Amino acid sequence: MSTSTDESAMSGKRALLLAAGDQVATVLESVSANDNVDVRDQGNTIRLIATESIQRFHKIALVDLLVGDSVVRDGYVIGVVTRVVHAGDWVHIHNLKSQRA
Amino acid sequence: MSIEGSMSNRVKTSFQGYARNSGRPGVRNHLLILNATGLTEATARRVHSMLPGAVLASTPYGMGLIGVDAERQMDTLSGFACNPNVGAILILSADRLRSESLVHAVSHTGKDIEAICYADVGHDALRMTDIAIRRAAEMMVELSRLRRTPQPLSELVVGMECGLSDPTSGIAANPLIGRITDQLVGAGATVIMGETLEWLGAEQELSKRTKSPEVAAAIIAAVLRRESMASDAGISLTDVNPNRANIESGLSTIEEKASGSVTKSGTSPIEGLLSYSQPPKDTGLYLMDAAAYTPESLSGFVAAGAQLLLFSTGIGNSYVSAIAPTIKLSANTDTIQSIPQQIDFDCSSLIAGTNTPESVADELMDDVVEFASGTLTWGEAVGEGCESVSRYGESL
Repeated sequence: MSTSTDESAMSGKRALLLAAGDQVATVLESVSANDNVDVRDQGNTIRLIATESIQRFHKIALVDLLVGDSVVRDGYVIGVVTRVVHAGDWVHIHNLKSQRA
Repeated sequence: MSIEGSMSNRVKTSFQGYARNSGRPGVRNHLLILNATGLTEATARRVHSMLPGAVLASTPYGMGLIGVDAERQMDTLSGFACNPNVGAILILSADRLRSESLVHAVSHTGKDIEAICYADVGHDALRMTDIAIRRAAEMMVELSRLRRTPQPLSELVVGMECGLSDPTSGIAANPLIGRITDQLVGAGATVIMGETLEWLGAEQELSKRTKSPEVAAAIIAAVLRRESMASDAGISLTDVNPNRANIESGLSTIEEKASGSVTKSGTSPIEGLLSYSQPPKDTGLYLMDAAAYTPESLSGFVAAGAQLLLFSTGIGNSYVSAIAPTIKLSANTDTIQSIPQQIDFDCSSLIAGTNTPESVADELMDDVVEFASGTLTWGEAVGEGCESVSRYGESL
């Protein structure tokens, strides 16, 4: 899916955390499985390893989530998890569903 | 978002504005040509074309408006005239009843207001044009004697909008607007966010930020009402949102789509829910129950008294208000590079990661003060401004 770019051992690909306490971040460039992904959280940088490829502007899980857990993005609950999610997984319609629809 | 304390010190607390006899100060000092009836619209446009320094607000409607439409038309047109950015008003109208009720609704502001009706000019549109241009020119010269003076930032009313969004809007430009909302509210100013339809999926979260159960219930009811309006028209909003393009671009649920829009409201408490073009009673953050389409939405804010608008776009959106400077921002580098005479504030560094959200918000806040103090937005420079009033039903 994503074109591979030169991987610097020092810096990972970047993901954007919108609000403290969010369980997902948005990757700012496309990510391949095993890529390092860096998330800046109020001055600290958290490093994740992507478990699968994730397209630009899609979401990566920052923590492990169980079925039924709420997912918070930018401080808003955006849905509940429908299958177990591990940190580094792609979070999208295959494992997250609306509570509103 | 726990970033307050650290930056509140550096935020400017005043702008250079136009003091008014009553009410809030203006960030502009416009002569408003206010066309009150559809019959005189062509005349009003002709008059405005001869007076490029004036702004025009016009309605294509007139007699035959009933119920909510009749009320909202007059409230919105008089709201335009009462907006602090308007220093004087010349009303053009086919019938005297409408112009007289507008003059009456604006009289408390103490502004110079005059009306020309068909009956005054022998029902002659060319004579109306001639008299209106001469009178408007006199009013403009008189207006130009006023000078800007320092005004507290707390006097600002700012409307927050997004339009023609893309993935950068929900993750960068709109959260940035949310930070400005919180800074403005923290400075004692007033912020309005509308587009009721876009709250769908975030209405519970919004209602939790209200101070009274009545306001919370009103927000939920406003969203439900729009949802049933759509379903009555055969449209299921929850089935089509997010749409396929949204999903491909990374949006998962309607809650996520909504959060990317309502994040413009920051994290401040919600003081109340306004109806279309209704002025807020107090300071702080208000929601406005209104159509989501930008022209109607922005005019609702302006009629409610917003002197400034912040407007995020993903792929570009040239629309701006005629009365309130509309600060256009985007985080999409392609958009910023391809339409530089449209985007007033480049926030792509949020995505490039070259600046922190806090520093970009401080920079935008400084720009807000500059635009409030007279710096032209691109929309003003190229004369894009329009106003239009929402409709609610059929005319008789």
